[in-house]
Amino acid sequence: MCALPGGTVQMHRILERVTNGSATTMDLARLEELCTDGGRDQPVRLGQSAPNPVLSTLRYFREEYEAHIHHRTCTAAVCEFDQVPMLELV
Amino acid sequence: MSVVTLTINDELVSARSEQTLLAVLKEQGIELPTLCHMEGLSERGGCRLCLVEIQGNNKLQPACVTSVQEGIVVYTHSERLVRYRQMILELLLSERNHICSACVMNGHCELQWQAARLSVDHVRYDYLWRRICP
Repeated sequence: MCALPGGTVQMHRILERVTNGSATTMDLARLEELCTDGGRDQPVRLGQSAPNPVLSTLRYFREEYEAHIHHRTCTAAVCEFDQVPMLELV
Repeated sequence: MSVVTLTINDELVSARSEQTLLAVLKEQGIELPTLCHMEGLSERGGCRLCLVEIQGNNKLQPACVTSVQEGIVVYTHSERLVRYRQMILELLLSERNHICSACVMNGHCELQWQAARLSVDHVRYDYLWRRICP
């Protein structure tokens, strides 16, 4: 996503947080916003297609994201959840 | 050199055909946020803050590298564009340690001005650079 500087990096960070157990519900909303807003209007092909895998997983495996965040469970038993969410002030 | 007519924010405007959209907008007194544009240097179109909506094209175009064309219909401050610009600024701010109160350029900073103008007052994303304090 060279046009939205840092967009894919932020997406990666959020995904990492989902897998290590420190993500919150707000992260999921942010991730969705980054995928839909950040991807649609890019003049560079990478920016247009880079969020597509994340968008697909959000569409078809949303309950897994939610299980990770709310119940700290991973259906595929891959994620280790070695961290906790930072205190949410808002 | 020929003269073209285009519509900017529902107003008819005439411009010279070799002008960029950004130059025309500036001539018309329409303020568009920019960071990478600088008079005298070649345009890069990298900061994406001058994105405009052109009717019939779903993609947003950066005004500084788009040349004017006959009959195009341009919108510069639609809700979508403002939201988009705020997001760009937020992502730009998250790239480094943009801690204004501890910065020597505090108060003389284009990025800070643009953020204030677009009411970006906090960054929801992680700072990518390592933090000054743990």
